[in-house]
Amino acid sequence: MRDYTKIEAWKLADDLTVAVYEQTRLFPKEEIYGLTSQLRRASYSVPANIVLRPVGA
Amino acid sequence: MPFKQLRDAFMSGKQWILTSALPFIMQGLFNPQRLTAHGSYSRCRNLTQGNKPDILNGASKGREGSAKNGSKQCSRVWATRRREGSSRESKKDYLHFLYIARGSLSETQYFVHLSRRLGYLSDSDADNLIGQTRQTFACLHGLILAVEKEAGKFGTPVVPLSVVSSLIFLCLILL
Repeated sequence: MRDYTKIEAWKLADDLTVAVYEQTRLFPKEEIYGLTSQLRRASYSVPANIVLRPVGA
Repeated sequence: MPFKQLRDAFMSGKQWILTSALPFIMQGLFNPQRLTAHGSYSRCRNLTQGNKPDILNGASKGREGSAKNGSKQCSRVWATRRREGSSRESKKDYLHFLYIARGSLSETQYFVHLSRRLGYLSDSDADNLIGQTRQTFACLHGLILAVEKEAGKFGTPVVPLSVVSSLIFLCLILL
């Protein structure tokens, strides 16, 4: 696996994920398993999928 | 051992075992680097089994259902896929994951919009997040285009340069 931290898209996606986690900390309790969870999952899926760079690519 | 699996499959007469075990057997026979001796496979296996008291065990209790479990699951998937023969090792596979990332980014954008509509996010916070998603989208789009070009999805030349140069040479000779 190459160094994914040098990919600009990954850096931005990582920053976005951190921002989303910080913002969703103040969401209401009833949304913990709803919108909060979905928003967090969608946001961390972006850098996670960029990281999944195979050896040959 | 591959021969033992093959023999057992023949002896038991279960064809489905033979067909399912055959790829592993062939890989074990013809692959000079045996899977069990493969460094990345053994590391993935160690991570999955938790042989090392790794950082995941130090994660807080509240994270067990999300980050901790997700990391363990990912490590298990990686160990399995290394064993399957690393089917991801191509640019087209990577493109597939980049498209998923793009879809997730659009999803994030909509959830931010929804959070604002529901009053969970202030306008400034939502605008900030939307701006970040747009920036990320632009960058990710560039990455996708670059990988698509590398993968030869759209960037295949119609006529090779050598053919063009030889045609020009022929024209010059004829003239």
